[in-house]
Amino acid sequence: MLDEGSVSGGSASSGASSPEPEEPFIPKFKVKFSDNVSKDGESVRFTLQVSQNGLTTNMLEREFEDFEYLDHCVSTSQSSRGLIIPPIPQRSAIDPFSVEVQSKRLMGVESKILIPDEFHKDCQQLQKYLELLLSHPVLGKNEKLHEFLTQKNPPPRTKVKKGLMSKLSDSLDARKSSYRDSEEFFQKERDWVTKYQPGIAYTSEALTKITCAQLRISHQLEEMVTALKISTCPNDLVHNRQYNNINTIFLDCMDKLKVPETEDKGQQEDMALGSTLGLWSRYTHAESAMLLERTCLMVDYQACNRALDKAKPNRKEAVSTLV
Amino acid sequence: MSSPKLQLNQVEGEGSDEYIQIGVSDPQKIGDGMSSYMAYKVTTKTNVSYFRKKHWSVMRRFSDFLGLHRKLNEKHLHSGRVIPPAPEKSAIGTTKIKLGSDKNADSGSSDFIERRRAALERYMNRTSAHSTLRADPDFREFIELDAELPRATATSALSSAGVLRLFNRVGETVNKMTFKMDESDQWFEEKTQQIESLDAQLRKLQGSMEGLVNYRRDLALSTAAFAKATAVLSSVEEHSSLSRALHQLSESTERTHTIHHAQADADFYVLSENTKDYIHLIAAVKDVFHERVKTFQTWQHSQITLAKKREAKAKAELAGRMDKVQQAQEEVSEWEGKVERSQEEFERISKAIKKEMEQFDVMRVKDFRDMIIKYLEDLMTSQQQIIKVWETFIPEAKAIS
Repeated sequence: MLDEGSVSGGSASSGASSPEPEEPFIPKFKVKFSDNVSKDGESVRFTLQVSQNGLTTNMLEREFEDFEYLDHCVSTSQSSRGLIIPPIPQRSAIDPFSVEVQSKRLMGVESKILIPDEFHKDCQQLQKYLELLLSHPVLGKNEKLHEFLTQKNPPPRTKVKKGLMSKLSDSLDARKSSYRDSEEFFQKERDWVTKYQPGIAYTSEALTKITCAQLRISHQLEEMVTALKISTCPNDLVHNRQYNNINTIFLDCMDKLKVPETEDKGQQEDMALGSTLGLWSRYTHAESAMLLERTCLMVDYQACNRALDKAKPNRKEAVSTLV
Repeated sequence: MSSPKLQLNQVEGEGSDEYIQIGVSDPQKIGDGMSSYMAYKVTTKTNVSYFRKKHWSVMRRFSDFLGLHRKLNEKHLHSGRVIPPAPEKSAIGTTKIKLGSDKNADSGSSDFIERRRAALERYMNRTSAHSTLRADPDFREFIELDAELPRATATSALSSAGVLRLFNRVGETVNKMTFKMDESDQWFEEKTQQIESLDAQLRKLQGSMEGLVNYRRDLALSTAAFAKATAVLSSVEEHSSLSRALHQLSESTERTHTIHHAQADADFYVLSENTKDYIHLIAAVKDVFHERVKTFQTWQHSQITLAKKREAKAKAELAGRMDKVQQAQEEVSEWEGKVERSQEEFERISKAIKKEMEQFDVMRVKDFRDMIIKYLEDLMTSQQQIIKVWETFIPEAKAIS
């Protein structure tokens, strides 16, 4: 697992070797998400607290679409060529229909459990995203990022939709990924990413499945608690009283059992391991995208070189005959 | 997979320290193809006086168990006894076993066999806990006779006796629905209602328990998948201590998978199956109540017939037909006797049922208590095991440099 230090180190060490060690890059802003998340129909507004050098704090409101636009700007800006762009977290379902679709996908088709809004997770993921951007030596200086974090109103967004042409060119690019690289370092890196990326994606999915299974169990325990509650009988005879006692004890037990299954345990596991796995799964994907970009450029470069070599003798002859 | 422990059965109500404990084990497939069957070893440990030995075993096949239940039912139901029901026949499961070879005993059929074995054991222990049923000669022969029992062919679903039974059952169901008894006894009125509500409660409870079993099995499966994924990741990871930690994570998760699987089995055998047994037992209770209703019907019917015969006699007397009067008088006395007997029968069965239900309720609460205690103990054990697994993992995680 590459940590942030070596991300910047890696991109600087290809070919050029800097004699003096680079200064650690200090992020210009500090961001903290507050718990104040407002949901208004289909749009969710997050409140950020931005501080600069520990001094001024700005309270800003941003929606998820603003983050998407920021991501689009950062990844398409010229200064970001050849960098691993920190991945934007996935958008979680907001409107009732997509919540149902997502719940059915995670919980199984027959279950009637709807996964509620988990804004704290979104806040944590978006905060991590901004922190990663800010601590990147190159991306941290991006204009759009600074605009995003200073202006009261969010920068105006244009509709970001991948057109048909760009999708076609993406698929063509993907085919070039099988070309061997000219440099050993990059080839090794590419091989590693090809093995690692599906591994970590699969692990991340497996963990989500475990969390869902635990959630299902806790819902089932809730059902059992309801069934036990209606099982009490009148307290007339001795054995009925005994039965009621046992019933109550069992009920309490199951009740206490289901609480840790959902709230604390599920949350903590999810937020710690789950979000880390998800993040690095997307990150390695971003890395493979970066390497793919390099591969495409290399293929083009090699093709041009070959064309030049083929052309050279003809031209040389033509030039020599001219002269 | 932990096997359910043999249940110890105290003789109820008598305060003596007699006990009888029956185990059903070693399921074996005898024969081949469609004529094959499953045989089980029935081991009895007892110090009850009228048995010849203290500890012995016999081999019995599944249809023997069903035959035993049928005989006990025939003999004791009309005395107002609650006969524990035998495990159900399952055409699919049995055929799979008959046709499957010994080599590929897949987990599905071995689950089925284990489930059936456990059900048979519970059935035997419930039946032997009942003092009257235990003393029944057919029951004693069943657990004692060291030879093959005559094949209870009438238990096969397709035999003529089976078809006859089906007709009888349909008739009884119609009877149950149409005849509304004029209940004079408050006790029975209340008890019937209690039984109905208990039935509904247990069904709901059992449904949620089965759901729990399935979801816990799901959890076990997804934990196993995670263990595999982490193992793959560990092999690809280049950072050596992270790779080692991932490998340990994979092993720890694999261990929790085993624990979850065992817990799912406990959920199933301890909670869900026992509750299901009680749903079947309540059906047996309803059968006994219905027997009483039938005796009431007989009594009412004989009273009506007696009134008719008396009427006929009075008419004959008025018409002055002396010969007819004589015959009518005989019939009247015959039916007077029948009325008396059927009334006695009705009162006898009512009393027997009351006593039986007392025992049933006490046993039910005790069973429920034992079930909860065992389940909570199992749950605690598995939680403790999980804690230990993760405690051993923490130093590995901290060792990631």
